[in-house]
Amino acid sequence: MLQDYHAVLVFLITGVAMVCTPLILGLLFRPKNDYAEKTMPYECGEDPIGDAQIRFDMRFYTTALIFIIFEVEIAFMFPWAHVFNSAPDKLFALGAGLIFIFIVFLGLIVDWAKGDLDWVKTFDTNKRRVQD
Amino acid sequence: MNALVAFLSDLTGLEGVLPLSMAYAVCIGSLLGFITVYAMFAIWMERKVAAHMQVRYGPMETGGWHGWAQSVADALKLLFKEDIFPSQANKFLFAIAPAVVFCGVFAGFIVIPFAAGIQIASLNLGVFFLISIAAVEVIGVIMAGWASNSKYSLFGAVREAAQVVSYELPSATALIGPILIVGSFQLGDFNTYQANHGWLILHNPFMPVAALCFFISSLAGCKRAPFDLPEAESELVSGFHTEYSGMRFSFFFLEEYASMFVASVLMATLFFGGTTLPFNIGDIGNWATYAERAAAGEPSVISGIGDFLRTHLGIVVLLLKTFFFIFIQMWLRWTLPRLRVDQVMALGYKYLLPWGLVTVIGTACFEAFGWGWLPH
Repeated sequence: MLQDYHAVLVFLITGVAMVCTPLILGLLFRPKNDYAEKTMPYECGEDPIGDAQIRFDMRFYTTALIFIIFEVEIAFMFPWAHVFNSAPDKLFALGAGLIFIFIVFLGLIVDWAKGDLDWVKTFDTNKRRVQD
Repeated sequence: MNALVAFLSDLTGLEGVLPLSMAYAVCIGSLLGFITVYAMFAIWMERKVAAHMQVRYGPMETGGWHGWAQSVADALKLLFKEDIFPSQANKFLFAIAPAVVFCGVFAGFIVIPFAAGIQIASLNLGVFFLISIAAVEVIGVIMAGWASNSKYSLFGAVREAAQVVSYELPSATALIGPILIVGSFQLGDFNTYQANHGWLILHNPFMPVAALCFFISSLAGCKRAPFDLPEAESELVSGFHTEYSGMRFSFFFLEEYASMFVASVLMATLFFGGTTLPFNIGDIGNWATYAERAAAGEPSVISGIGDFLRTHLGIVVLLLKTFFFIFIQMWLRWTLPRLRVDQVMALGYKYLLPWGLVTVIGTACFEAFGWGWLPH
């Protein structure tokens, strides 16, 4: 069984090699003509102001956090689904699964109610101004 | 793969590493050839589909017949293009990002069951492996966007990261239903099951919902319109690959088309019968017969022309189904306008994820009580 997974490693390495080969091959053909304007970050012709490696907006962080929590919960469902039909007592398996999915749903509802699922979380702008 | 190793070992009389590496060489060569030809064809097809939907012809000159050589010409042209590194960029990350993006989806191809016995590695975690390896792409995209040191790239990358990870949830939940019915992660088992029991899409009333849920989230996962926000050309120039040029740029496209293929194959295999025809006509592409022969110790699949055709016509059936779904993806691209970023997030979390969980609950109930549209 485990030796099947050697193929994964081999193909990951081959994937990288497949990207490198045309690039190395292209070295023979492609021109190299750099100048400052060409290697400048593209901003529709304007000179870029400042660095682009800045701090991210918090909402990406929230999205990633919600994703990790739900993804782990869903990953737990896969083994359950795999053995469901071969379980000795299907009704027990169903009950256990339903309790778990109910809790996942509860988490989703809590996130929804708190507004974390909204892309632009609505703030009371006046309140923020006072705090600032 | 194992069958190929056994076959090569019989053919050459060698043992150990040598037939294994020969088998790997054959698999790698054929897969590379397949992906390259497929990508070129798909890009040509996309242009033709787009053109005909807008009542024009698309490429007509290159190669003579309906511009069939357009993609070949493009690939050659890209090889001769300058490879520009932005002066502010993080050179190392910028250089390896296309490789990271591509190798994930490339490794995903190894579990695709083209026909009975034509599957590079029959991993026991097939579906799960495919979901997880597809997620590697996001890392490469963030690398590309961050390393470019351009504001458009950064916006594209963070949008892509947020969108792709969000839509992994509904697509994973939609896949739990079929796994629950079949009781296996191996993609080959889905073909056997559907040959004997009928297509999973008709298994119970929740399966069509799961299929739709998976299709929509796979569109978002492949960054296809109407979810092409990461590369929204009217607002972000080209998104995370704004700063890329030449071959490096083309690998992002190769990856996009390759992941479209993987998503469509998964859709066809898990919900639409995989290599089998409706009602299992002619027993085409049934993996069970192949497995029986393999168990009886026959190393080669070829025993009688009828058997051979029956097994290998499965490839044709699967590819037809796959290209049907790829065509639908292209059709949607030229039909629907792009969604707004908050609508994309709302669709993923507030509609598809609950739907996906409902299909899991529904399928589990139907299975536990032995209900369903098709006999168990």
